[in-house]
Amino acid sequence: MLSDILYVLIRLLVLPGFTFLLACALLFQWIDRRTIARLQARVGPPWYQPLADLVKLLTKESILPAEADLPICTALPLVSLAAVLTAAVYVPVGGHTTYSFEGDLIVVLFLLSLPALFYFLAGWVSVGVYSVVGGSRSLLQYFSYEVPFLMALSAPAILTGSWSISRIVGQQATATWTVFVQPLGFLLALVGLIGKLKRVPFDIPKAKSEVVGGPLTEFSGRKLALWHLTVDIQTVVGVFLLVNMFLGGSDLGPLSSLPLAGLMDALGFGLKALVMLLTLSVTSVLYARLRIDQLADLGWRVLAPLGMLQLAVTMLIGAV
Amino acid sequence: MLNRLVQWARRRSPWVLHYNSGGCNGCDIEILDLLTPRYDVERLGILKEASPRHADILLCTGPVTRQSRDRLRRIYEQMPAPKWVVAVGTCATSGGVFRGSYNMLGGIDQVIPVDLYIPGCPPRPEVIIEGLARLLATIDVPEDKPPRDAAEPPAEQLKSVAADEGEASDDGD
Amino acid sequence: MTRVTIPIGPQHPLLKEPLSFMLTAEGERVVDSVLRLGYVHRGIERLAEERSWVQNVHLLERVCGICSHIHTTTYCQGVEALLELEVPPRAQMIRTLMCELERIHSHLLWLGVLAENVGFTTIFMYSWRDREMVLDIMEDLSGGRIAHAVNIIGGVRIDPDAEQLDSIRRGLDKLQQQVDTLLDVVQHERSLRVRTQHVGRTTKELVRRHCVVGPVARAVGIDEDIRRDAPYAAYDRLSFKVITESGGDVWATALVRVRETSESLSLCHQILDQLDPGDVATRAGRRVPAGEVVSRAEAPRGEVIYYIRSAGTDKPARLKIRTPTLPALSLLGEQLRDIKLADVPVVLSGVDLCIACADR
Ligand code: SF4
Repeated sequence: MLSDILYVLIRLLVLPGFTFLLACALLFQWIDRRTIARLQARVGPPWYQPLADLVKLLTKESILPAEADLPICTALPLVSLAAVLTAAVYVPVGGHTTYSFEGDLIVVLFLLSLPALFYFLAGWVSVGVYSVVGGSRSLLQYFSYEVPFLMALSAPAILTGSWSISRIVGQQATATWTVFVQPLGFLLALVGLIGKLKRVPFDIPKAKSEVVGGPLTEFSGRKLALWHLTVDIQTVVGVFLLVNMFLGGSDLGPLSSLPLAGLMDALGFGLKALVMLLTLSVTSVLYARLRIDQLADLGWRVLAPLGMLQLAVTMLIGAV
Repeated sequence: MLNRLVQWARRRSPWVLHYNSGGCNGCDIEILDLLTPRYDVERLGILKEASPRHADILLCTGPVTRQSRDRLRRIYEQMPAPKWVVAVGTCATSGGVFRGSYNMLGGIDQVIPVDLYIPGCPPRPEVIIEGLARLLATIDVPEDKPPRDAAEPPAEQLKSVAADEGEASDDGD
Repeated sequence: MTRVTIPIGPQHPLLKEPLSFMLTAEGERVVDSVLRLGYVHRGIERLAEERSWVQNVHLLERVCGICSHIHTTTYCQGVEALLELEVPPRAQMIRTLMCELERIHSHLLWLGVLAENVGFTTIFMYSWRDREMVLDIMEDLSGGRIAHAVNIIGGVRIDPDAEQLDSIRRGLDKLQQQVDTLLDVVQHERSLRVRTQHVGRTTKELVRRHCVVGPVARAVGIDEDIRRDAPYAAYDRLSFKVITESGGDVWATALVRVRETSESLSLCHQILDQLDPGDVATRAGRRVPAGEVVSRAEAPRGEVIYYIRSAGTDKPARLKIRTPTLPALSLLGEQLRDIKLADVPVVLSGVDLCIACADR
């Protein structure tokens, strides 16, 4: 009994739980910044940089404008961090799932979309002009990428006939990776993820040259640290999710039958996640920021119809 | 132990905010130059932030003109503690060539406390980096005090970053 | 829709210098703007009246950190005219060389700022990296990266030897390749074009009404350049094209500026080849005979005008500086009306403000 509880706690907190996630988040941030720097002919930060940033922010004074709603401003970053952490629990890592049930994909998608909402609210309640404008931008943008993202991620589920992430992963090991069946869906999901993470070219809500720091302009210290952490963990969860849904999870094709299965799983998963992360980094050095109307155009005229097409085709195939 | 960690983090993660209170651009482009490939201060963890709320170090350039004074003070107050101020350039340290003009208050230290002066007109990026490195080396968190340095914030600090600019107080004298 | 007022500046990541815009916006649309200047007013014109002719060279170099050399050139030219001084041809050439190097530096800097403002950090990094090469050349020549202190009344302070000229040539060649790449990027990079084309459009008529000069005017097809139209220093002995475009949008100004950079590089080569031997300065007296003069020059941002009056003493009686940013600011009032909020940074970069010049 006791050992069961201990086991669950360890899974939740250490591996593949929160400690592991935190480590991944910091590592991912470093890889990302380093890659971007290298591509821009710079050196980039040392490996401990994300940790130093986090600790420093956590121990800084945390002030807010007098007009801001203090309880809500304190709660928002906590809640959004909680949302992404909870989402992480349902995403299998290297073949291990902490919790899984039929329909966990929907829960994950829902939880992953929450931070955008809280981000908007954060702008709204912290009153500064830039915060408000940035916040409403993030809401506007939300619809443009979220719809295609959802459509792209439902396609594999429909194909497999299951809404459980681990099942979808299992299916891919026996058949083929989803990305080969639905390359279009993968692309859409990637674009959607970039939008979710507010990376270039979709970093509209936090465009420095227009709205300073966006919704986070007024946040400082601990609260800011939590916001940053939310984004970092969201990156990790998003990347893991895409690896699971489209790249076959930890499956390495014929290599999977090699000895040391556990190690190979971890290796395969890590490698794929790294490739995804590098893709994200490379895209962010290649583009200028879009304008909000251009993004809406892109979202509704290109991405959404493509997502629809993808879904329709998938359903047709499923029906035949 | 915890304080050692905090000290380590503060020395390695200085985020800067730049404000020109009346300089000639010379210093400003050298500061911007710090971010670019040849100098790349992200190596040292230095990021240039946009909002005073996110910054640890205020890099001031130029002498303080009468019109800039209140804004400079307000930016300083908007920054969360612990914070440091660096005066970059001869103008910022003393007023430089513009000393004696009717619209000048002199160096940055006439308005807000300065922790480090970097003279030069303009100082080379290497010198600015060296200055910042020296400043960072002096940051310490004593073992016997709690790491957070939370002084009671003055009332003015509680204005939002984008608080209305048109107010009369901004007009200097 | 409710109107909100969005302050841009005086401390804002978009601006490297303090200047304040109050934008009135309805949602994402900016309907009006109010401009507030004077944050960097240092009273230079008044200060100049209190300092001697020689000291003023030092002071005026600090009107603006980006185009410091052009200010001293214009000033020295004016004073030399009052003194009726014959400046040696070698000095003229070196002055021109510095002017052109400075133009290259300024335009590359501008391209970086534009890229940064549309969120394209990579181009910012690359163009500023290439800018370092010009700074190296200027430093090699004068000892200063930003403030060069090259001009003195009656000539220049530096006298490069053959070895230095060679190393400059090598630097210029390397730079030429980089500038070609940048031109290619500006011409063909999709996302940069999407953000800058058809943005901040001006017309010939508008430009004329607000007396806008420099690359912004040339981007609407106004073929004007002081270097050719009223040659100063050594420009009458050099050949170059005045670059014009017809689009009038920010993209067109970007093209003008990058092409001008190429043109400046070729000018530098010509200067290095034709550099006359001889003195680099003539002696100038401490007092300047009474009289007045208008001196003009083409700064990277357009025409700079100095009005200098002497009362026959060792100090100017009046010094008036008119920089190209002033009309650009008045044009901005028109441009920042009925545009998208996201285009504001682009438009602002397009006119290439230099507040330090405008406020003095
Ligand atoms: S110190 Fe020199 S370069 Fe810096 S702002 Fe003052 S005059 Fe300009």
